[in-house]
Amino acid sequence: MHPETVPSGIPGLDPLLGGGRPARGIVFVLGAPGTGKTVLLQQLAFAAARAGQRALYFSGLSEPHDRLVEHLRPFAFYDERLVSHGVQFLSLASLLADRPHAASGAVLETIRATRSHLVLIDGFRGLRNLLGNDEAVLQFLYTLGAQVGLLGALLVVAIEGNPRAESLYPELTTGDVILGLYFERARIGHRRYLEVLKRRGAAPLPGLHSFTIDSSGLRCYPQFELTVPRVDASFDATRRAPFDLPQLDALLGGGLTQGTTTIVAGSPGIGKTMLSLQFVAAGLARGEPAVYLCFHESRAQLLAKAAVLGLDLAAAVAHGQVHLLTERPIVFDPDILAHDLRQAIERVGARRLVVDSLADLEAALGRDRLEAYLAALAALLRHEGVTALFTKDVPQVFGVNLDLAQVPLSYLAENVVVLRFVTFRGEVRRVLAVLEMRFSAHDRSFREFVLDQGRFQVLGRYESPLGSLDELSPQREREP
Amino acid sequence: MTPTVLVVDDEVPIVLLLGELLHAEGYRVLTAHNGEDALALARAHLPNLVLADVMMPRLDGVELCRHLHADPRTRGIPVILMSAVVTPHARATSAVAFVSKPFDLDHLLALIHRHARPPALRWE
Repeated sequence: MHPETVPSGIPGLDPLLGGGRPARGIVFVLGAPGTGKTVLLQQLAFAAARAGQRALYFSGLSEPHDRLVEHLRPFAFYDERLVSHGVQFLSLASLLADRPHAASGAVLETIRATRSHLVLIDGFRGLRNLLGNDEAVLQFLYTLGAQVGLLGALLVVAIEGNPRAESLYPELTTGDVILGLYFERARIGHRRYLEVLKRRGAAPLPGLHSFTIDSSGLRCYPQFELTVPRVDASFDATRRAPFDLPQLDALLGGGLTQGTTTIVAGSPGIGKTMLSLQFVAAGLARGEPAVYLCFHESRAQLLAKAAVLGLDLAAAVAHGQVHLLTERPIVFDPDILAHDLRQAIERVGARRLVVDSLADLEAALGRDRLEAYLAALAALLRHEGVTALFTKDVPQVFGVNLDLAQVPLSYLAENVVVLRFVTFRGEVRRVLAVLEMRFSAHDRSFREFVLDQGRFQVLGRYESPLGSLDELSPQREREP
Repeated sequence: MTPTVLVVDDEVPIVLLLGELLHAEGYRVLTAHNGEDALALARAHLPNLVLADVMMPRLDGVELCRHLHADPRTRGIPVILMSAVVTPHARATSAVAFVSKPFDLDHLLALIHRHARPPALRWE
């Protein structure tokens, strides 16, 4: 029988552990100095205390407890009222000073006396100094682990070192759970990762998962691709999500099919953001909440653009109809973004989503994860019944030749709307067309559109005098 | 006379834990790490109580209990069995109590106190 599993109290960690932490046994937490081991242990301790259990935290370092508490105080999980009664801080050095040969017995007496359910030992190196050598430490941990387990409690030991160092393996065989913490240089800044190297009695999520440490403590973000449910969502191609732009909606056969993903591809400055805001406004007019994710515009800029459409975005946000997510390009973590996006969709009950732009996701993901991540995102949106619009910059400013090889049609988008500049008799004009729409009949003809004081207006069918838009490209115009 | 408890478990830390605990409670403690050694010790010392794990190499706890109670000399020794897994096989023994691991030490001590009293002090 596997030990009972209980909530760890650390946001996002339980799914990684296959449901939660074991109620008893041994957990080893490995990581280089500064990776977050101490915060993890202390957060576990306070979570247990908050759940009505008692936790014993043994510091392997000879650091005074007031200093320990001083570092702990800024964290939201720290609760002064739980200190002593719920979480007891003890120095291993003081406890073992008199009984180096009966170390586990001394610890065990304390566990019994305090009726603790969770015992945390922070500092393997400190233990080695106290007990003399590695062998004595191993014997101590083995004995203590078995005894603590017998009493129905959990022993958590933080060990300094590279989690992947094979030299540690023999020492860790008794662990029911082994967690590896990593702190690595990213392209910009650092990233923290957590890996479940071993979990007896449950199926952990494989791979490296992001985690953050801030004033709320430690929070884990499972790799997004592994968390998306593989269930078929209901789909009805007759249900539409219109733009309330009659000419465009007509091209789309009444609007975008609900629950599908669309890429709006076009040159920079052509009006993709305005079309996206129009999509949000049309949704709100139908009582469909939205999430808007943007990377380059500030909140204030977006509110100003929305105001041009007569859309009071600030009010919609205040009333919980729209959730605005503004991320910094390049530096964001895709798994944290996916988590935030998911939460935002749930919070407002979103039926529509705008991602402005797809290129920012592509840049952050890199080639190795791009396809899997976007496919997972599309699956999530289908599952939630969210109609999504992703903008995509295309470098070619004039003409209509669009390289669809750059557009992730196969795994992300069912529909493609292209926006283009064309020149006609020395004038720059804008046209749009629906190039692809998987679940609907659609009209492939081009429509001219204008941004009338910023408002998106689609005009009638665009007929070029020369028969084709290609012939309007600057190169062709120069020909005699 | 100090009552004697024989503690049998193949996990050394558990024998150490229970041994220290019972010693502190005023018992004389004998220890063994398998059923065969335990049987020999029981026959030699006639302890007041045997506290044995079920899953052990070389004669498990259930077999140990059967052997002890089949022998007229050790028939009267109460046996408490401990295990993480409660099987029907383990239930169908002549043990006085069955304790599932992990256990509450105070509960276990209360059981031991109840069954390890010297025969002279017993009602029967």
